[in-house]
Amino acid sequence: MDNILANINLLTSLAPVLNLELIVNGLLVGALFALIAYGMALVWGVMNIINVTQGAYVVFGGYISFYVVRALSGLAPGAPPILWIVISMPVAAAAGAALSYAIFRLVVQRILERDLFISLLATFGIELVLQQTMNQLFTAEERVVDAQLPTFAFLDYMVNVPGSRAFGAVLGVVAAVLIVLLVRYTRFGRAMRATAQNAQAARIMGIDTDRIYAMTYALNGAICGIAGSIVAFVFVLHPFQGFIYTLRSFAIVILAGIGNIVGVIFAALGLGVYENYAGFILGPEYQNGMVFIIVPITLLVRAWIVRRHRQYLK
Amino acid sequence: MKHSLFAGAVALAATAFAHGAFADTITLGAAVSQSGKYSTNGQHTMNGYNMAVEAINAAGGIKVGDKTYTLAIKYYDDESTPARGAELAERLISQDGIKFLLGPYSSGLTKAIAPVTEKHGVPMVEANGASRSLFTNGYKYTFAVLSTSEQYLASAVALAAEMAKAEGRDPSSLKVAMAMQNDPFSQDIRAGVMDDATALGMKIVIDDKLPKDLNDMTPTLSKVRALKPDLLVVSGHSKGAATAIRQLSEQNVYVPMLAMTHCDSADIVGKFGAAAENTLCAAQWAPTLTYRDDLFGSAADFAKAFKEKYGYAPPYQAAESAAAVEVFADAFRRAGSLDQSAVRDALAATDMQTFYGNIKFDETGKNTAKPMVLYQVQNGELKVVAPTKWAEAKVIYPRPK
Repeated sequence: MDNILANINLLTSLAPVLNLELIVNGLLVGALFALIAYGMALVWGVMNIINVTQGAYVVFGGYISFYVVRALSGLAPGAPPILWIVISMPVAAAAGAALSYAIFRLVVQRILERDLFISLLATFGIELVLQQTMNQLFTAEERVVDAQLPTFAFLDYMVNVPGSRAFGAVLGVVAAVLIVLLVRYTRFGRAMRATAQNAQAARIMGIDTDRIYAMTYALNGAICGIAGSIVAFVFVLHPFQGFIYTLRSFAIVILAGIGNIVGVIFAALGLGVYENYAGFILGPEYQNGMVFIIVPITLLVRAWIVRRHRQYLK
Repeated sequence: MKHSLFAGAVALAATAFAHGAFADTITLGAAVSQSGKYSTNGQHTMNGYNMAVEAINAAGGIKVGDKTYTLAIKYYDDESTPARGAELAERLISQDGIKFLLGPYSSGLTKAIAPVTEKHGVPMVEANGASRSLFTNGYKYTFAVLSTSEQYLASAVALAAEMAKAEGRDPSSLKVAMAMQNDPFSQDIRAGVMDDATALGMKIVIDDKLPKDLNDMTPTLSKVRALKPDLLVVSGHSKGAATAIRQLSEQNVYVPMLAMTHCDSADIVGKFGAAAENTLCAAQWAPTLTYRDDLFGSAADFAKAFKEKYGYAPPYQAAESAAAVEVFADAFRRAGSLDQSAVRDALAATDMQTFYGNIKFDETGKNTAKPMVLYQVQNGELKVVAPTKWAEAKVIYPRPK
């Protein structure tokens, strides 16, 4: 308790400028979470599947990016690694899409019309298998990609923005905008939205919903692949690290409400800032717990609002 | 023709006998992580065990009483899960009839297995469970060759005090920040640092517990920036080490002295280069130490042989694992029988030097004869800087900005 009060004191009177740093860092990681959560929201909205495998796809994309960067920088040493990182992104996206397409055909398409519990169980199982496969293939050694970007310091070194995080956030935003455009303005995007609204009606209108499901799931794999290549140079890769990203994207989608795309972005940015504060004030061991507590609170508040609404109708 | 073939077969059998092909085998059992989050260190552990078994067999095996035995190990994969480890220990003992166990990797797994071996009266020599809570339960059959975890970074506190004195500062003016993972092993390290720091009158300004699935420690580092401790101590296995080095440099956080565990297994030098410079790293063992034994020769000889065999320099996890097998072999010899309680008593009376260090167990089964060493990353190399007896280089303090 003393600890918590001391931390609050630090933020309010001793070094208020730290607030700025917490907020900036929170927003930067939030942009990355937004990308991952966006993919989860897509799968959830269109296919009614809670994709617990999300984190494993992210880590997988990270490893692909790591190996591509390593191979390329071996070929041409001396070139800035950032170039290789940018090149590795589409590769990681393609690999993520291919992997999720294969998993869709193998498992996910068989559980499409089943209840939510089956989808949770199946995707959780896939996650375990993927984690262990990555552990065997890539070993449990921590992997990182070094972007070799400078850190920008402001206000006499009290607010620091690592170039890698800023770059990651920019890439995350660019990727998110491209995906939003894809969903809004392409034929595929329109078919996807139609399927999400009413799969039966979409089928009657001649949309091959099975194909749309497969494409949506593969698109999510590509999103995770890109997010993974950002994770590789911002954080640390480990085969069992995926849970962190699954947990956060789940909380973000719940917070935003299913089908609320703009909400996902704001929820993600907010969550990034919120968890930085939770980690600072309560201590890092509560960071994950404080993220997860958002889920029941959001659901309770929603239930409460809905009930009030119903009473009003009476 | 027929005759000579027969003679040949007899001769072959005779030589085979002379070479011990028909000699009996002592099979040690071990549940080690081959999958799951500890599989890298599990592999180091197995390589250490295998290296020692092969060396002992190549040197003619172990003479127990008037019979000579060769060694073998039966492995199972504990999947890095304590419950699975306990299950497999039970299986090794009850189903496979294994009479002697080698330890798994990590304190958590050892903690799960120790009650099982204790129940069956099966002696276990372990090399990778350093948590001090393993030695407070009155276990009689568990022996650990490594230094326990509260000693890991206590030497960093002593070093900081020494450096402060040299600067003409009172050690009690030092501020210490701790970021330790929330697991038994790291929390023991925390207790050790805490005890030593408070005994010297130092002030603990940050005491953060890192989560097991650590991703981002920037909130802790923001605190470090604001409170300016003289010493920052981090313990979070390989992932914690990698995350700390990356984020300290990315967030422009400066501390005069930085000490952590698992620098070598996280390969912070290879991953981050200059960002890892001047970090102090706790280690159980270093190839430059002057210990030696008859089986492997010096610590450096072991390192060389290991590198030839497995293609990488041995981390201390491999060295201590090899030493555990040596301790067993020595106890078998001295016990003169394979009776479990005789071997247990022989283990308790162990007093030997191995390439890994001196080994002598106290009544709780932990090795009290070997100190920890402290490395510092200097120009991309790990140099022993403490204790002074083995120092290869002078410690660089404070770290240049």
